[in-house]
Amino acid sequence: MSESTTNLFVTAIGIYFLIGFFVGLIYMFGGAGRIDPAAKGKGLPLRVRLLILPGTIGLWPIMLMKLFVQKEPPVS
Amino acid sequence: MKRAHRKSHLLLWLVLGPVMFATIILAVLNRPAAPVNDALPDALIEEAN
Amino acid sequence: MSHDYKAVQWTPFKKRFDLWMLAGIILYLIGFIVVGEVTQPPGESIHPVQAVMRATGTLAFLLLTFILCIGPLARMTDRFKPFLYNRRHLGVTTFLIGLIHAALVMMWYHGFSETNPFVSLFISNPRYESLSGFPFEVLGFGALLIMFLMAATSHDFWNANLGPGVWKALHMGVYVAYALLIAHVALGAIQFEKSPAYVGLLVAGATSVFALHVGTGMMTLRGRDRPETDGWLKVANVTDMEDARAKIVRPAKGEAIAIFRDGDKVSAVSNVCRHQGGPLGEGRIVDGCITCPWHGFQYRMEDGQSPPPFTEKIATYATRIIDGVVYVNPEPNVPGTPQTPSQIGATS
Repeated sequence: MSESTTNLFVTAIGIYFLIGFFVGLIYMFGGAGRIDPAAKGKGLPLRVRLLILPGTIGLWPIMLMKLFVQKEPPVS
Repeated sequence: MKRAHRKSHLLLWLVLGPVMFATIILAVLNRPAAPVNDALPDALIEEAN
Repeated sequence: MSHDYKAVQWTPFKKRFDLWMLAGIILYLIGFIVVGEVTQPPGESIHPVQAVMRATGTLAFLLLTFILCIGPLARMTDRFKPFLYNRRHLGVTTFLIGLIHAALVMMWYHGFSETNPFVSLFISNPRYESLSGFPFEVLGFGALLIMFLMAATSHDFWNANLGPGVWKALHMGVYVAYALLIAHVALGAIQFEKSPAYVGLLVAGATSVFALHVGTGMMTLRGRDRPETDGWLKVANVTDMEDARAKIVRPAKGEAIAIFRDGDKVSAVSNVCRHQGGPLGEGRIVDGCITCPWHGFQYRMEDGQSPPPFTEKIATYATRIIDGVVYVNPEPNVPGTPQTPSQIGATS
């Protein structure tokens, strides 16, 4: 791999994780409860919210899709 | 664990196993030999030590 | 799911297990560094950072090897069950140790140049066609990336929301990670470490993991229980059935069945827990409920339903006792269907 291709590749991974971080924030503050009633409000202490963040950073395309496909009533 | 998983699990290992062992064997066979410096007589090396 | 999420479902046993694990890790790291320092030939000293790098690298390899052996071993002997139930913490810990190893490598070998360390990781050694000069660091990076995904999705939330199928498929990636790790060590450490101990460890690790998984895999595939003439499967003699415990039967089609004895009653349910697919038949009956050995999910013996407020349901199966021998009908009932238990001692 040439340096420029590698640069592009590494930047792409960086952007992927950055987007994941923002989707993770959405999940931490409400998104999780939207797809999973058990993860609403008190069902999801801050510690668990923090545990959800890294996974969403890695798997955000699936989780973003779930947010739109699974229609649960939004968090009150 | 579900049965379907057991099967794919076994299949995956039947692929990964040979890959793993082939890598190990090739890697060990291709190990670089310890560098030997023929230019220096043994006595000189001993003296340096 | 009808329960609140907790960061960790602590039990006294898990706490003790984690303490022992931490103590073991610290002892190993200190021991490795001290022994390395003492046995180092004079004039070949290595930097402390490199010593920690080697210590964490070997530890991550040993831990992952052990973790992958737990599953098959637990199916052969009960002694490994405690490890099976705490595999999650071991796995996350292994990822963190691997992460320390990788962070040190990035800092030590790629952190001092103008180039982005990650770019440097991929291009500083372009000999992708060579064996002994292969950029083995990239392989370790791949393994760590997979282990990150496993560790990050190890919480119950992920199991519930990805669905057990996707989750299990994703977590089978750990085998790929192990193969990558083997290649990482074979093309890395093995190439420049003169000690035969490294080759020995690598071969021993790969062989035990491979043999255990293929061995137990073959066993389950072959170990089908033959149906009796009228389609019912023989389970065991009543006298061989331990109270509050189960026998597991694997029919030719469908899921394994767990046949429990509770006092003088015998009933059968699916062996697969709704929660994470845990082996219910390896659990016991607690307060009249079948209790999953993995995370304590409970089901009533008579109808396969979780006691309220929980809503999980598993399939039940018809049982019968003839001449002191327990039989089960391998056709599952709809999950949650009440099924009258067979009575031990009653004439049927």
